[in-house]
Amino acid sequence: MRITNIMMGQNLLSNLEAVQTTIQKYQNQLASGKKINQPADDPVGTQLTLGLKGALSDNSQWQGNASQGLSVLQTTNATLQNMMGMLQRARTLAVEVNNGTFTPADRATTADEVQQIQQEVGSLANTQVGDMYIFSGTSSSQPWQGAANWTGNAGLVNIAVGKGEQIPINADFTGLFQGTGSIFNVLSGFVSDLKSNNLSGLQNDLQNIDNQVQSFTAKEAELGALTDRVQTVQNNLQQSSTNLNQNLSTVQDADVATVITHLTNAQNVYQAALSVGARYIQPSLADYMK
Amino acid sequence: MPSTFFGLQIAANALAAQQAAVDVTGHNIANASNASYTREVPNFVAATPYTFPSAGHYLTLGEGVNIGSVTRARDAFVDAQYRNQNSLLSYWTQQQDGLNKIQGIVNEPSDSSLASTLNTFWSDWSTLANNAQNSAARTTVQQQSVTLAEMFNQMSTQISTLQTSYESAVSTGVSQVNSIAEQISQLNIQINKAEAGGSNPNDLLDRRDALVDQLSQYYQVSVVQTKQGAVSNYEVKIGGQDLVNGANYNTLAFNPAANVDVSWSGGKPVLAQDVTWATVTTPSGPAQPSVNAAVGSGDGSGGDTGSIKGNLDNLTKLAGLQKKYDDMAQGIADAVNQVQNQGIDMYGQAGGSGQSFFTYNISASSQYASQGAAASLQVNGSILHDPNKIAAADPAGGEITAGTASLQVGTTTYSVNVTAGETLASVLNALQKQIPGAFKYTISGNQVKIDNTTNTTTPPSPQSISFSTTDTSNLWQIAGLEPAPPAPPAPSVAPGGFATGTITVPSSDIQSNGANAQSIADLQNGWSPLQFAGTPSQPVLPAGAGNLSNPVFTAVSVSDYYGALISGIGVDGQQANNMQANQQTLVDSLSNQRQSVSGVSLDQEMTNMITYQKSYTAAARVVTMMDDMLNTLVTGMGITR
Repeated sequence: MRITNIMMGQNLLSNLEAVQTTIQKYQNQLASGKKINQPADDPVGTQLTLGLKGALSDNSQWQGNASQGLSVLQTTNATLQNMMGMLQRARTLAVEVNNGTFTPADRATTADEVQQIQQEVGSLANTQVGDMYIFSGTSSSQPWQGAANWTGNAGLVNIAVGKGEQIPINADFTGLFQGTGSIFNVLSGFVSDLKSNNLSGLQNDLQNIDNQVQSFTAKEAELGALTDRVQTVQNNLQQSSTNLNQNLSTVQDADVATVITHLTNAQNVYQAALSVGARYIQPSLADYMK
Repeated sequence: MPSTFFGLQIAANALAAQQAAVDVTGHNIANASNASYTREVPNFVAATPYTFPSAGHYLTLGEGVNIGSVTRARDAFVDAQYRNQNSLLSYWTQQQDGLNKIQGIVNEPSDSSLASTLNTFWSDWSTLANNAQNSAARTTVQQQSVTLAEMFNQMSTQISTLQTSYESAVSTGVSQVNSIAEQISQLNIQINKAEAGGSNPNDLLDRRDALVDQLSQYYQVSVVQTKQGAVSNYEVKIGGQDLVNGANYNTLAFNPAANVDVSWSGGKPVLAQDVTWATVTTPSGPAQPSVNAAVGSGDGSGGDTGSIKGNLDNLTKLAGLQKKYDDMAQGIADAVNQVQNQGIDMYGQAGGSGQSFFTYNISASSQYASQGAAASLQVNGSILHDPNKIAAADPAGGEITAGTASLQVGTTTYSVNVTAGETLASVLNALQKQIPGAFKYTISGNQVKIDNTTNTTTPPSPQSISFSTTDTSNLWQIAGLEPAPPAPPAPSVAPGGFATGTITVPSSDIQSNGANAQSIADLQNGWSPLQFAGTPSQPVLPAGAGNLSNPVFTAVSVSDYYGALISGIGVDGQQANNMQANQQTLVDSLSNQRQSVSGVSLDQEMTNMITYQKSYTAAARVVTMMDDMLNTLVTGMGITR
């Protein structure tokens, strides 16, 4: 083939451009740390990336929900335990006042303490995590409004922890706080029996308080199981988040060692092309003629 | 016998010929870096010999050399190939350009793309679901929704802007083609004049070839050259149709002022606006195309490639992209609106007081055609004004609480006591028993029908059920107080039962649950139960159940739909990149072939120059020698010393 000067120039130029394109590609990958910088780099990988990112976003939302749920459940557990302590104190008092040596005046004094206990249980029952009254079901208003007045409901507050998977983060507390068998009623009954010195009533009250202790223990067990469940879910979510991140990294992240090797190669080629070009473009027969 | 000076004439011819050859070489060297220049070759021709009788026979002596012609070293076959591939290269270069810009607009995968915004959007709804009463969560949903809507607006605007710029690229291309056609026709006139005079107008031919090369960027062209005597006729065709024929030329037309309307055929966009043939300069000129016929729609041999076709295809692609964004915007808006309408807001009102969450910023119905859903998507003003109007709560989340249920008729009130946890059916049953024959009721799902109840105002808060026995049609949605089966007792209506009344059932504030927000967040994973309405250019404001039979698009989920869209762009982009690279290689190779034939090699020119120079020197020596000989003849002969 006959080689002409313009040809040599054009060839050199297009080769240099090709190498520069390669260098730019690897430089982009290094600078962004990603091997997919636009959909055309890897259409299938791009779709995978979008899917994985969506899944990760879901996952982190679910993890957030779960930890919010956990904090509610833990607060609920702790509060229930406090209430248990108060119930135990009330039980001790109930045993004491059934003692025949107690005078009516003593009982009246005890009544004040029991009233105090009722007050404290009530204010504990109004505990909030964020805006949520943890014992009031789905009701958003303050559930305990003094004495035996309870406005909470039995509704369950659910959190999403997976695709279509929801876990309640509270329980039905109406059994504990509402109606004739509620702790407030029991304590009110106890107080009025103490004030009226109703000895047979006081016997009954001791029994009622024992029943309350049992109900509270049962609720605690229920919440404990729930806490375990949320914790397990949270662990699973963390595990799958790690997996998802790994997958995402495999799909979209550039392998720095490989990219640097390729880049160095390309740079060597570029320099070789430049120096060869500079040498063979320059001379012609004219340089050697006199 | 030849003349005494015969030899001098030979040398003089040689000197002139070699000088001309050196001039041609000089011209070649001067144009060594002119890419559209064609190397010229001096064609030496031995002069017509001189024949004379000598010694009984004829003797023929050569008369030296002449330059017969100076011709171009050109391969017409490679030219045709080069132009074909060049138009393909231009096509794919434009496609690559368009797809790169589109990829710039979609900006995927990145952390500031539509996909990320959507992820955050769904995620914020989920957060709201956990904290339905929290005003911060509500404001976050409100603001993220604005971000989403603005993202769609912005994408749509960018696509429109890009469409405008490709429209003007097409019309610039068309005027370039027209200008080139005119220049070629004028060159044809000059070349014909020169040819008629018997000369080779090489540089004019070069200019014409360069113009045809340039033309091949815009369209695939073919050249037909016919010779009649010394004069040739030069035709340039696009798609089998003459663009230039000798001194005459046709022009093309593109009207970018007209909307680039897109019609949809078989799920693909088809441009209504194409480049068409315009007028002819003279009636006797090239074969006349029918005005307004699309360029290249003829025999398919041209007009299907080149930068103009590439830009037209970009316009089609952009229109398709615009529609997909419109569909997605409308799909999301419709889905969110529908779920939102099923919920109740912080004021206990249904679905943001019956208003949609997303609306379209369309001022008049006449603008529907020019404003797509993506361009006009916005968050309802009343929700922007008050995030408490986001209907995050599921009406089924309410509970009947302890209190008094009452039935009010006129000024008379009947009441029954209700304990917490009762069902609606038991409350109604109790009321019914208290006032025998007062009303009958049926409960089905979340709906309760009392007598022939009708709604009196906006959807009711669940606590209050108004009814009227005069109306016989309406079913009332009592927002979700779950009724318990079995069916209520057989109704007994007293003669002269109540005409109107209101039943009030005590219930807790159901607006505090976030179940409806969770339903919206769940839309991320698909909305197969929901279907959407409308055509891309006419967003239909969601009007309830009437529109649900005609889905905008069907996909497993919105992210699936979007993922497929993005990977489609990616595949197209990859193809354009590969095709462009392939075409570039082909064109480079053909360009090399062309240069190999037509290009100037300095080494060769130098060699030629030395050859011509030496020949010239030698010819000059012949003159000197002849001079010596003549000197001998003139001064040395016949002189007696």
